[in-house]
Amino acid sequence: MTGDSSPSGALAESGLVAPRGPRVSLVTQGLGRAFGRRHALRDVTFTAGGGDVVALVGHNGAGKSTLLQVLSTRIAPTQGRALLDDELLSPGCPARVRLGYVSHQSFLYGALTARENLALSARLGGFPEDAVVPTLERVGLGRAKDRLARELSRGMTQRLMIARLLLQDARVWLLDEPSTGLDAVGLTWLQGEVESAAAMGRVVLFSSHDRGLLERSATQGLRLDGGRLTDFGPFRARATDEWLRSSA
Amino acid sequence: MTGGRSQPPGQRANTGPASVLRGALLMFQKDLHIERRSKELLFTVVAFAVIATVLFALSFNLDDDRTRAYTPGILWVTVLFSGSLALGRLYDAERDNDCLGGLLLSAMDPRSLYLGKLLTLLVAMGLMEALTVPLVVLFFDVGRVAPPGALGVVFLALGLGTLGFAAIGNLFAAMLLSSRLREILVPVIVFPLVTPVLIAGVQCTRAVLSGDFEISHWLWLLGAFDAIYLTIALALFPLMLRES
Repeated sequence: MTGDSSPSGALAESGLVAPRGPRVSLVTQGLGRAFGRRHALRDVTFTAGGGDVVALVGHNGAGKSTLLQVLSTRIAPTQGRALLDDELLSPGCPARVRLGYVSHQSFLYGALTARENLALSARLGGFPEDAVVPTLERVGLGRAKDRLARELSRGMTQRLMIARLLLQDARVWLLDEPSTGLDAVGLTWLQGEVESAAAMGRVVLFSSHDRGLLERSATQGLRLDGGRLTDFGPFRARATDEWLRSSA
Repeated sequence: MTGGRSQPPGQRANTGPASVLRGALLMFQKDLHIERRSKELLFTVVAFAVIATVLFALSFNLDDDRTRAYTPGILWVTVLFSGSLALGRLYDAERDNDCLGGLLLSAMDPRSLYLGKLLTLLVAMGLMEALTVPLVVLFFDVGRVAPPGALGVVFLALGLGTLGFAAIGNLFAAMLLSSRLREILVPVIVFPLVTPVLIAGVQCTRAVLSGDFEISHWLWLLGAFDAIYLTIALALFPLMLRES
């Protein structure tokens, strides 16, 4: 089953916040990924536009993480293709730098501090380094900025990973279980950041089993089952339980 | 395609030569920073070289002049074995938390990572050699018979040989990063490839230590292998890292 929808985010739609920056479009056409003989993802076709917050739901092993990995360009599809603003996404493609990816792996050097890790990202991407400390303060790591990354809790690590997205000003946010390790305050903060990104015209795709994050932030739902897309549509058109029914 | 859509500097991939070198320096600085805190790479390489040199010295009858003939081989084998240990640890920081994946998703050209790691490896091996050569000279009594200026040429040959070893070793250390057998596989693959470097280096060192300074052909050979290995590695590195 395929889906094709690209409504704007709730805040942007309301007209209260004008989307900033060029309009973003993320398109997949028959996207698939096999590992040997096992197809982790097959024939996934959907379109998401700026302001969309797409919740990926499905059982463990349904293909959510694989879809995010392929979209992030961390791994190549073995079938179909993905396009960001009509530009083909593949490992090493120029468009990769417009994607922000929070994965199960932190991509952080444990022997560097939070500030050093973010400064490294800034230098690698050519972002202003003077934005590093304000970004750390924005994500609530102002007091922990000089702690080694390996000494940070899971929730703090999650915040640091999202800080990198903010610094990078990514057009597309790909979040794999972003609420992992976050406390109630952290979850509220994360919801705010996701809404803010959508209001600025970003595309956000996230996988999560957190009901609060799904209900408050998702504008679109995308259900995967056995690597296939089985449902795609406005999230709030149906009860959350109906979306979560297929979730583990 | 996005065509003429303008993007902020941070949202463009950095692929120009200047950007590649800037990225390489950044990777090198990052490695130095981590090494200053952990000292793992340097300690591993230097400790092995010192222990190996001492063991070689204890294993041979140093009163026998024939032992001196083995000195070039002992020096080069010690350097290459120590270097292979360095290769095993070179990408440790990138393996943890999939930092390599993060680098590949960044705007940095993958060749920057290669060149940065090459610099790190050269510095670590250079420091190891600066300690190993005097130890070999001391234990094997090379200073007594070596003509003036010989040690300078030995260091030059070692420098060229180290560059060739590091150029090709760095490539396979990255390629085998996710392999559980990398500590075994890297030397098994790299040593046969650097055999010409070992032969040229040993012959050059043997000639110089016996007073024969007609060694330019050996140095040219070492330089040629450096150029070949560097060219191949820089071409293959980005391809090998895809989906690593």
